[in-house]
Amino acid sequence: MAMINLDKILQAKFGFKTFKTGQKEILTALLAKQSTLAILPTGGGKTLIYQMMGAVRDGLVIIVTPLLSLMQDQVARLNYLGEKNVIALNSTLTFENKKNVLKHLKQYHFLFISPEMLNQEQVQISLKQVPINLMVIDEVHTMVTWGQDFRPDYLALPTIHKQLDQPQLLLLTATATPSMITAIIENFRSVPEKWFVYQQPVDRPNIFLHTEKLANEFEKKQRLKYLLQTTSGPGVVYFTSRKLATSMAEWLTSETGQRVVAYHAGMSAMARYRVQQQFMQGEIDVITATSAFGMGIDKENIRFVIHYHLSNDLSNYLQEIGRAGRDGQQSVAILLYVPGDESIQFNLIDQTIPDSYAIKSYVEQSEVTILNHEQIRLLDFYKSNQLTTVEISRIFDNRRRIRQNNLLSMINYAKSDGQLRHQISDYFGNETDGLSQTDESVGVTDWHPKELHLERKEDGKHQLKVLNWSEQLKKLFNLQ
Amino acid sequence: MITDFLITLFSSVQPRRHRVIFGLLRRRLTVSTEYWGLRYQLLPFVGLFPQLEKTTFDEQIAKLIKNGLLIEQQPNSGQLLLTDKGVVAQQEYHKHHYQLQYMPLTTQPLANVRQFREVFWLANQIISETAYHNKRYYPLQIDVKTKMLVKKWYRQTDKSHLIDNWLMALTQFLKQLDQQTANQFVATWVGHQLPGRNADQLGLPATWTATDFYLWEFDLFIFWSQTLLQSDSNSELKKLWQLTQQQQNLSPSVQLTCQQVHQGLSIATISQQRRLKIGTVREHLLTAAVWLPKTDFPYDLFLTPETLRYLQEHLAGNIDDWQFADIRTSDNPDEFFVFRLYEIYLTKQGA
Repeated sequence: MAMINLDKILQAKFGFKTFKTGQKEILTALLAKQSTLAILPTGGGKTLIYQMMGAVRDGLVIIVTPLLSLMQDQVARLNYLGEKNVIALNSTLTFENKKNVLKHLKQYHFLFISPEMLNQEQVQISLKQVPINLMVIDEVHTMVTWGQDFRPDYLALPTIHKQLDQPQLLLLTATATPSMITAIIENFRSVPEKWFVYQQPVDRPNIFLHTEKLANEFEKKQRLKYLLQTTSGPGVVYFTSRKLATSMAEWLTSETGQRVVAYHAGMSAMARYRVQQQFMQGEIDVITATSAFGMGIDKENIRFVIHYHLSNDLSNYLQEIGRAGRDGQQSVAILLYVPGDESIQFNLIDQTIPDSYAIKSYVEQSEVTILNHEQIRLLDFYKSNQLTTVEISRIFDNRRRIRQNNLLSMINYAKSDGQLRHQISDYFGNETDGLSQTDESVGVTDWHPKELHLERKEDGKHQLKVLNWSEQLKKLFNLQ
Repeated sequence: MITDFLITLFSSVQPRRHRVIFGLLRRRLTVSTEYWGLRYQLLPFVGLFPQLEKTTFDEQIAKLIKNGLLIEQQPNSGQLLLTDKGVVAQQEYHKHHYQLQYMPLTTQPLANVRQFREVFWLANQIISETAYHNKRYYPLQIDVKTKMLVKKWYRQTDKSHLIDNWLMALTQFLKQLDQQTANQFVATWVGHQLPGRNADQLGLPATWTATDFYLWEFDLFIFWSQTLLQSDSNSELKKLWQLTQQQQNLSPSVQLTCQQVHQGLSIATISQQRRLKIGTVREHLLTAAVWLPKTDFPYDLFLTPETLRYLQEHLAGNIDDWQFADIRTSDNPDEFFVFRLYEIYLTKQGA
């Protein structure tokens, strides 16, 4: 292949002068036909990579992505960047729509697809009819972590990849420990050539790390209110439940007078769109979100991310706090912890991973009473692979142990008296020598937003009144 | 999301089957569901909650029973009545929540209104961005088919007058609303650097829930849709609206059966010609009778004076209490067809 001048294309087609860290290395590897695993932080510019591949090479770019809400956001983002031939294939399409898309696959440059949909035979048959430029698997850590977001169909991806005649792979994730990297690549063992693995150091020097232990729920709630009142935004607060995210948004609005709005996957697409855009345009001060919060749209100036609950492991924690300070400015990640908080996460693990009794009842007697839809799909997957009850139970036990172990690293982080940066970098197998010792603090008394220039100043911005409709129409249609 | 709203769908005098109500809200229709939807005067609500989960619905019903707001007419009959306490709760609900104004009177399939709502949102956004000559924006993500409709519509619009034409159509409608409602309604729209307001940012009554907002917004789109249906305007908005009128209360197959009956074909002939079971043709006719105005269905073809006389002699009192067994004379399934058709006929007369 002739030498491609990546910088030139970047400028001409995308209007950027320089690549973000890692983008060029990854693109070079891809153009050299190497299978690539890239560990890039959220907002590290994943989209540009496959978009660029779409620009310099023919054929369809397939992007396997798990979250419906994220998929819509990614389509919107490509639309925003001027790509029109983008389509999302997922369960929200009607049968007729789907048929239509599959029939006209050649028209598209980018196909976002859920793992479930990709696992369907007719979809694979259609994909075999078109040249494939690149197969991207987003959130690829899902294959090995079995988190809350686990999708059984992720396990089938290596087989599907083979069936599609092994198109070039780009595996993407925001976080992966060394053992995860090995496990992911091992899944695609049929890929013969040497892999290119790109990993950035996980430490983000501009994100100050801070943890606090509170005595009980009441204190934690009051503390959150205080933090919002004293720390400058915009910010995001993470909760484990939608219900709490919603009720806390109301409470914080009335207590602080700030514009606090909930955002989670249970909202309608239109409501989510409005919240995203309001946040982007500075009409919202703080978003209360669940960990499923997938905001495909980058907001550069998020100053704080507060966790009201633990994440299910440090990988997820890192991913969530990574939304802060994309602009490189001073930001902070605060974790609030009350002894016992971890039980929520332990329960979540138990809910995701069925015990041996439930497995036995289902596999041998088809009893489904305590299993959810995803669990049944997963058990079916193993059943169809001729595994015995004992073998399946062993796999699940193993997974449960791994997840519990991962959770322990999160709990230790929350409970520890220091070395926060060290713990995170160490967990991801990064060098820990050059890490800052001062950009972190532990405990209520050690939180000094002023020293970080993050103290909140009253901006007097409150919820605006609804204007007269004819005034609004003038604004909508540029008639001032 | 429908939690409290459910209580409005029950009555203190007419026992109602909760399974029928679920079928109507979710749009899982059988002829029997449609018939009872007619009897309960709940047909306009068909498809109001297309995502409704059976388990959620059942839990809500169980809760209403447990709290003493609903009572089963007979144990395990699935027929529910509002208790005195339930009547009070229903009145309280009406006081604190949005009162549907247009939906109860509409005959439009809600799926069409829903699609109109979505195409409107996107078209409005496109025009707003066009007005600012902006091409870089995040388009609303709506389903592919709906997006295609908007694209198709946009291609044929007269670009030189689009904004004026659009603005005029919007103004015409908004003027029909009271000032505050119009202000709030427009505030929900998305446009150039205008993210649109969500339910809790509009200054709507504090007692309103997410369901109220949904119903309020939907109701306005029903009204708008009704206005467009009646107007002979040739506006771009009307053209867009026309593209959304795809679903009909009667399926093409049912419509064909109706046509053939009007042309004088018998049920047996239709069945033979189209290789349909006789029972299916009868079901088509019952569905048509349920949905069509009384004058549009040829009742006299099936309810002859003699039949009517027989039925009048044997059936009296509240239609809902009638038992088919009381008039049955043979095993001929046609008898049930006639019985049910008679019930529909009387319902249409206001019985």
